[in-house]
Amino acid sequence: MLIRPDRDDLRMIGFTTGRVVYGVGVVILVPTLVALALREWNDATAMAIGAMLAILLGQYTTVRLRSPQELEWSHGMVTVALSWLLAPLAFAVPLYLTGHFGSFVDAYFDAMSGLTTSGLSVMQDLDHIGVGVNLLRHITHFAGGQGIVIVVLTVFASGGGQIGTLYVGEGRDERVVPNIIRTARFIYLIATAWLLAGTAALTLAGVLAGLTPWRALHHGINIFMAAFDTGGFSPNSTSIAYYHSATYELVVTVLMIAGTLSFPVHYQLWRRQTRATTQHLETRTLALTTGLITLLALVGLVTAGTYADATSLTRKGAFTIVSAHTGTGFTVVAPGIYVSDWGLFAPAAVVFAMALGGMAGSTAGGIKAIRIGLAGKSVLRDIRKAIAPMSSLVIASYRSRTRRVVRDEQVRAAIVIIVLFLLTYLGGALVGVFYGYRFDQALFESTSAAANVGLSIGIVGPVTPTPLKLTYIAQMYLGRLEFMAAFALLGYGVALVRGRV
Amino acid sequence: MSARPATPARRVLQVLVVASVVAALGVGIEWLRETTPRTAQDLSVPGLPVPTETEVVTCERTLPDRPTLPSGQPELAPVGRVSSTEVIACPDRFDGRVVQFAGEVIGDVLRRDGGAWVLLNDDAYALEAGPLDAHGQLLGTNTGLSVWLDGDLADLATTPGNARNRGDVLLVEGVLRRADPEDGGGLTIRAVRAEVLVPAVEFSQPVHRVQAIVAAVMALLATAGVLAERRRAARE
Repeated sequence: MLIRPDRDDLRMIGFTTGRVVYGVGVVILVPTLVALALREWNDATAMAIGAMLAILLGQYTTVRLRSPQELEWSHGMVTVALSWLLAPLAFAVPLYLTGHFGSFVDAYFDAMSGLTTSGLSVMQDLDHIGVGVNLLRHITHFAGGQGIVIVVLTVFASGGGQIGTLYVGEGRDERVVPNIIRTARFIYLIATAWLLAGTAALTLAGVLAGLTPWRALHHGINIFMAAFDTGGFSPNSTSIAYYHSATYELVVTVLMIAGTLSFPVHYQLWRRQTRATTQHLETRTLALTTGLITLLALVGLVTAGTYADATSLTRKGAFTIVSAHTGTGFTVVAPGIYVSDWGLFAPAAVVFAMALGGMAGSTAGGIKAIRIGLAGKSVLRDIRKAIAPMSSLVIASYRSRTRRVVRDEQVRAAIVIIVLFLLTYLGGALVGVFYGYRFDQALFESTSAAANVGLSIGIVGPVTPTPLKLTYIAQMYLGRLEFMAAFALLGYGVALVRGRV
Repeated sequence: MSARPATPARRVLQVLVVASVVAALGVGIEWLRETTPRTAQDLSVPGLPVPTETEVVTCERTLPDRPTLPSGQPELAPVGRVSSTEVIACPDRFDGRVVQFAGEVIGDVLRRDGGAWVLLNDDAYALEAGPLDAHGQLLGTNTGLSVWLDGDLADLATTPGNARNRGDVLLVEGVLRRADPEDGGGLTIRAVRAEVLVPAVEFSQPVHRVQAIVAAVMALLATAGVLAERRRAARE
């Protein structure tokens, strides 16, 4: 029986969502101040309006909807789902006011793409935008990648117990340490350490590539946020190909891999538990799939005659697979080149890499290595069971932080999410085909959106039909939340209409 | 704070109020965008050579009739001025050919190894109307090609395009490499000749005063709200 949520439930959800929107407004103030300092007046005022709208709305809801009620599981899921719809609205307002988008849907598309760390963009004349707006775009990656709901609420919350329910909703399955606040603090610590080291390395690589120190720092900060948060935006339209530098690509590759590692794995590395890291099921699965798919892509590029030398194969082929598999979406070739110069097999390998995604508990999207690993372990167990004597007990185990037995419930949960992802990839591709695009190309773009990658084969652009843009927005949203929070919001809506008091 | 019970009429009123606020916000944002002041500067590029072809030919490596060059002939007859769109649509047609390419220097001039890498955009913002902020017309996304300017040619690119400038517009002639081994397989033009068609132009975008006033008023309201909330919290 469906139970209709009462006013207190709605107040609680409204209150918590309001806090998140308020936090988003504060985040937008950072690029606003940068734009002001650089005298980019119109961009600064556009961002100020977006920030103040979010702050005022957040203030209003937190004052009007203050609730003594404790946050429950369902509240948490619905809050997360709502926050991830409203936060892009707050970012979309300043983006739209810059005048670089054809419609508000386009601005919302880029805001959703940024927050979900996808990296697809329909922005026009990106190469002439100001430093402040560029920072705003990349900050969406950082805010979304670190989990806006968790970040905002751990900053504003007094205790950690009530926000624990939000953790899973944002697609972060595994806590680093049992206490949620300490988990969030560890995430900030790791992110800050990587921010300093990564920006410094990128700035140095930028100077070596020929950028002036100030420009190298500007590019370094933005590219760091896009790489470590597996986002994919870049300050210029040609992405990483802009720098013509193997060193820059190497640093970016390290950051992309760091971004796709789960925070529990970062925790192990932080504590120098190297052996535990290499034995971790996700690490092994990710290493195996990355190696295999890279090999497939290189075979595809060689047989198509695209690249002849090892350097080109590595800098174009392997880089693209790492970018796709980590869910980042940086490119080193123009989107049209995948169609005109890469043959069919290599782009198919890219689609495969995008679909699988990175580790759970990281900023990467896609199916995730833990689910692939569990499904694989389960298949192997069933094969062993089939050939073993009937009386024998066959179990499979894997190493996460401790050795664990593969349980059927875990496998079922993993398979459900895998199936949902595959259906989302196919569903988006069918919409693309409906609008006249070829199936292979539509599948490429659809997978990129739903797995929050951001590589494009050329379909996404300002002239893409609006329903197709809306489809990609929905895919990015569903992929980032891994369906459950979005389903909870839907269920809540149904309960509001059809539930019993 | 105790809430009054919601009657159907009160609920309808609440929905109407929320809808009105959302609609007013939408209209306001649209109005602000439409009233953005623009510069009256002419940023078009005169004197561009006429493109060799006007129709973009696409190709794929998997298609049997893809155009290829005879082996051992890296530099065939020059093909005249090309666009980035047609090159990307079928790089094989131009691989190893001498081409002319015109575009705006974008972002940075990456000086190193006795030359410089530049990104030359040949989209509508670069060659036809100027940067979007100058005129406000949406003309699509950016497209361009990477060009290596060797030796003294690098000195021709002095001011790249950005939020304040329409950068130097160069006309280069050079060999197009589909997968340049010296650039890790990148699609490049190795320029052997270059000239500045139009030097960089700084364009001034007038300050949007109404937008500035709206932002200031909203900032005041938000600050007042934050202070009031803090005072209330201190009292409790």
